[in-house]
Amino acid sequence: MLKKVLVIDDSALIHQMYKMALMRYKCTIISAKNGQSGLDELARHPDIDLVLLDINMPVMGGLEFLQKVKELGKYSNIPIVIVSTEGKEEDTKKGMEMGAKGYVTKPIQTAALHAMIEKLIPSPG
Amino acid sequence: MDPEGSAISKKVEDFLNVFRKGEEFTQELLKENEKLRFKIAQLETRPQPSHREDGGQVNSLAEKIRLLEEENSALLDKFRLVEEENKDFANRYVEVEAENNNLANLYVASYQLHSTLDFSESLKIILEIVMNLIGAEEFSIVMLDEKTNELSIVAQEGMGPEARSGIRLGQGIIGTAAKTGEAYYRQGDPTELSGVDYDHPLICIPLKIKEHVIGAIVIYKLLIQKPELTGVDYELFSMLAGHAATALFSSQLYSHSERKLTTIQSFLDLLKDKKSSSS
Repeated sequence: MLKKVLVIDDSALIHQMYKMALMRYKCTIISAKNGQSGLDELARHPDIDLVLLDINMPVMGGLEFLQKVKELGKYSNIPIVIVSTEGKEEDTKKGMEMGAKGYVTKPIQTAALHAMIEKLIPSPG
Repeated sequence: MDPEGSAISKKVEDFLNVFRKGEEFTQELLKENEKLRFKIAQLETRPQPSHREDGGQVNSLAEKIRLLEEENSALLDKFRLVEEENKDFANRYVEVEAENNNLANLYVASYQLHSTLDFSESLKIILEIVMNLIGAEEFSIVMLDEKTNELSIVAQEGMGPEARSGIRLGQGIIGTAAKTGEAYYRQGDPTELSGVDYDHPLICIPLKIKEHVIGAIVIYKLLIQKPELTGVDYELFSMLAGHAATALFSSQLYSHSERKLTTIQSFLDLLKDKKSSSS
């Protein structure tokens, strides 16, 4: 069964990179350019399995998105993974406190990302 | 018969009964004895294996054991070989997987580079590639002004105010790399840095269309979690050298032609207006 992953990042390059990297691991990607469109996608696709979240984005950043998700409460069962940059540990720490279930660092290593997804939403069997 | 006589005859009767039972028992014992004798005779007449035959059997069993042991050790050797092969396959799988990821990243990078004709969009894409795929923290894109022969920063990430623009062609590491068209990689551990020195970059990749240099990507510092450059980084650099150059050049050309087209269009409109007003 395909895992539905919502990628919230303002970079088209990152979206395509995730798409290429994760399609081999039976993941389908839904793209959102910022936190606000991420919330819209969550409302549109109730079957999303996991969210990959960038921190610095226009309109609504990653931390604000986490805050909104916390306030809404209804998405608390969806694991959120922060994509962080080294040197921005404060943001990562804040994000983890706000309910993120894990983080991966840039530059993205596909194997590490896949391991994180497997840990949070294990494949059946 | 008097009572004394009848008591004696009862005793005699009892004695005779005991005697008869004794006789029956003796008869049974004799029969049993006979059977045992017969069995002994049978066993005595059966042919006994000789010592020689014993030795032969032992030898054939020992041979069988030796063959089985040989077979066992051959199987163990085969098992070891298969295990080695399995390890090899697992390692190759990991390598192929990494290669797949690298190819996917190269594909994504080149696809993105040619997805726009907007100069600033092209610059943004190059910045994203260098940041997200290579893992650079401080870097810049410099473009060559062919009239002044100077390289100036057109985009940068993470650099401080002391970053120097206006490098002359042939001057220093960046100028030399741009003049010769040869990529520069600083020797030694890239993480071994006390501070960023903008005159001594880690990497300088000239952006070339064929042999014509139009600018360069200059990297001063890698992300802390990026301890060294890998094979795919060099692939990315060589891809960037060509593709980023053509992407920047064509987007620059496109925006110039767009500007010229607008000017010509306005000129034509003006002429039309004049013509209509004079007639």
